[in-house]
Amino acid sequence: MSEKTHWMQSPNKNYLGHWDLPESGELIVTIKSANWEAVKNPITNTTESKRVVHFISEKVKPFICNQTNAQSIVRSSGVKFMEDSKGVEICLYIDTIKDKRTKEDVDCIRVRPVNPYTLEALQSLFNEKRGKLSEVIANRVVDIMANEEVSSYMKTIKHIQSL
Amino acid sequence: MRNGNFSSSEIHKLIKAGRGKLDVFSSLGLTYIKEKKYEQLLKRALSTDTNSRPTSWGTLIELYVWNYKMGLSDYKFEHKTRYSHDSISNWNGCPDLVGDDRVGDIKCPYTLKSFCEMMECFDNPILLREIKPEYYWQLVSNAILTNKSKAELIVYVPFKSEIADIKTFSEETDVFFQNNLDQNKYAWINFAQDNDLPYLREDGFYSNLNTLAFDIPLEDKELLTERVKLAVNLLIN
Repeated sequence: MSEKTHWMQSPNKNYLGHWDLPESGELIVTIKSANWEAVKNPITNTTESKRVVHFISEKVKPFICNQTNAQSIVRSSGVKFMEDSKGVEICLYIDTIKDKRTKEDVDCIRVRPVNPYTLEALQSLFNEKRGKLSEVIANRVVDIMANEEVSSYMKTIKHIQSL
Repeated sequence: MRNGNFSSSEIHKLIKAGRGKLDVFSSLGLTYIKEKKYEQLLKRALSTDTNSRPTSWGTLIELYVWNYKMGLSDYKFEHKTRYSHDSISNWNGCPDLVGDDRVGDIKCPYTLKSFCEMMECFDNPILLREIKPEYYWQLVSNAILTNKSKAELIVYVPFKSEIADIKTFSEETDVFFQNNLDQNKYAWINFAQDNDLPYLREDGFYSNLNTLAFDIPLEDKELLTERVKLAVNLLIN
């Protein structure tokens, strides 16, 4: 989590906001549980029922999950029921949305699947299947990792996975 | 920076001389130089068309070809890297692929007519130079900027059976993130009717993936370098 203090941050916030995400703008989390809960709105002083996602890491506050983000979780994980979501890994990131009232772009949290095409994933797959690669291809993969050729991660991972 | 500079993709406009004996550039070339002058004054591009369907189709399919149709090779996918000439200012280009001794460009035409025209000159680079000079000189320019001696033109139009795969690919969020692209610009592809997209029938004459590789003649490199020098003189004076 970010060590700096976001201007929009409030110490009384009980739920995750975009200001809680690290400076990189992305946070990978694992779902512990997801339920409909009574959530108090401190501005209107009313209580509403909301989908709330809790994470395994206790450092990450519970996340009020709207319809769009719920759809993203279902689409990316294939898990249709909240009760079955324990252990699902998701990536939270900062996006912008137009505020219906002010018509201004405001930051918000969005959900996407965890990127499977990372340097770490490539490195681990390469270590596992190095013996199956020809010397030329193995050298090329080493080159891709050393130069961090991000645009080649996907094709390289798919190639090694196919062996 | 592309604005106000001659870029590989349009450099062919500088090749032809005008009709009169003293006309160094054709009207197309003079207009191009004038446009670059305007861009220098504006400090931005004259054209703002980056969202058209042919453009977004080309960008997405280029990524698809790179990830699914090309094996691992010495090529690096460098479509975001802009190379500048060592000594001639105002000359740059953005090759799709850069290998050890070659540059490559992936073309994914949105119209089948354009694809068929490209295929007419696909037997040899001399025909390419005559029929599709914009692609030939783009490769020559990128080879000069990257100091390579060979070029490769890759032209791809999917078979009908590949359209579903492409639509799935257009939902690959990570690819867009990694390439710094706004996925929303490509959403239309997933919702388009198959018949509204360019595809080839498997029983037709053409292959989906076509490659033309050739050595770049030194005299063409020298000719282009001379033409750009002349154009830069007009641009800065």
